[in-house]
Amino acid sequence: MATEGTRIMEDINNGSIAINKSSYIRDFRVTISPIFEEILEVGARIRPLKASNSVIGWVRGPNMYERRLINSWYEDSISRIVAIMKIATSLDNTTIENLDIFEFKSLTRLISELIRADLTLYPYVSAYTTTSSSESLWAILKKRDIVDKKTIDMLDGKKIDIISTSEHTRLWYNLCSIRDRSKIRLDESYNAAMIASSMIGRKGASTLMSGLNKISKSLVPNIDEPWKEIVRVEIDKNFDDGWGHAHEDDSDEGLLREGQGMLDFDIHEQFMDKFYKQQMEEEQKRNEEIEDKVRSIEINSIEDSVSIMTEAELNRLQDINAQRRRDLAKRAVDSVVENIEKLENREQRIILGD
Amino acid sequence: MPQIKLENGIVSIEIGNRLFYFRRLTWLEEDNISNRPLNILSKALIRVDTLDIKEDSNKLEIIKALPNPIRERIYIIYKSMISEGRRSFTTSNIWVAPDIRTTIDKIKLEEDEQEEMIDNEVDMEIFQKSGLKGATRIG
Repeated sequence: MATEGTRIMEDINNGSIAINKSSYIRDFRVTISPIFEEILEVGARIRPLKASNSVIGWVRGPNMYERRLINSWYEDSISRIVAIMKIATSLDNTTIENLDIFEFKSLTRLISELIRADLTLYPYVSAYTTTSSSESLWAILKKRDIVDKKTIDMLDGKKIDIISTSEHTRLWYNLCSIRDRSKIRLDESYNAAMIASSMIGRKGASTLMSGLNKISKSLVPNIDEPWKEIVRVEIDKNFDDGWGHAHEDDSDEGLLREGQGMLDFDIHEQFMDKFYKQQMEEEQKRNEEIEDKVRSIEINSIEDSVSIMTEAELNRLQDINAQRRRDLAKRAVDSVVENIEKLENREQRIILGD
Repeated sequence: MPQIKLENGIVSIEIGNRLFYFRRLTWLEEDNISNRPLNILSKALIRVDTLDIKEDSNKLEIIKALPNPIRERIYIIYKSMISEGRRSFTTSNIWVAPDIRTTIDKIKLEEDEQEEMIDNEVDMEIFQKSGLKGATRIG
């Protein structure tokens, strides 16, 4: 007899209980889908190019493959820049060459912003592949050659050239092909399971059928799961920046790198050296102030009372005063050394990872 | 007060009763220029009064003949005048996707809220049926 829990699980599995869908994912999908449709269908996000608020043409962010192509086609940086501007805008060569330095900087900044904006979409390609928008687009685009060059004719007669397919399109195309193959394989497996169930009975084939049902559910369009599993990109931290990172990377390589940094007198060492000198200077200054104070007390005391001493008594008094000064100075220096030792010990502990 | 004008992209500056005319330079012309006031002004100089200066060596000689402080001032005036009417490029309607971490955090937050809500509902139902409070929180 099935318990309440197993009954609920079965209901969820059969699809008779609908699990609440995320409204955030739904809204996000609705926002991002038309943007992907534009990239996949048109080839790029083309936007009006405005100069002092009036539209003078069109602009887009050249994709990674285009930038790579241009880098291999042209050797000098000027030709590369002109080529990038030519494919990124609808401006002609003369207009590009006649820009002044500030206009040029403004345009390059705009193009790099568009490239960055397009790149922010890239991590969401795989999740978009599972949407109904992607499925309907795939039905049309799978028959087309995705690597062809094309020229987009804008309605005002201006043209935008696309010399290579974007990284978004390439990834989407590959993922959709895999999804397509998975669907075909699933259909074949269902057929095989049906044949098997006639031989081994429905109960015997139930495990296989439930496995296939699970796969089938993952291929339903507009599910939430792929959006929850967006690829996370961990950026490697640069440990070779000249600062101490022993507490972040305590591997053998990390410790060797830190050791080498110490021997090479890296920024961290320079900082510690400067800090050490600064501390020493501060303490010396304080020491001098103390000495001044002692001296002023001595002078005051001489002014206050006058006593006649023998030469031996005077020498003894001078010796006592000198000893007192030496003691005070030694105490001050000792405290500095102690502070520095403490600092060094702390640094040592950090390096050793204690 | 010396006469300073900008007409059709050409800056005219009066220096010692003579009018010096400077044109706007392109980014290609300004690229990799060292000793900027001297070289930029000599490249931009096109005319003195009614005399057209065509040879680069002549342009350089004329600008070199100016005393350094005057050359610096002319350079500043030229640069500020030429910036008038300069275009700055923009676009519109460009959507930037949120950072992946932000998306994941928002989805997680929504999930947590939903779970909390469901737990409360189940708690309530169990309490109504059995009188046990906080059953879903056990373990």
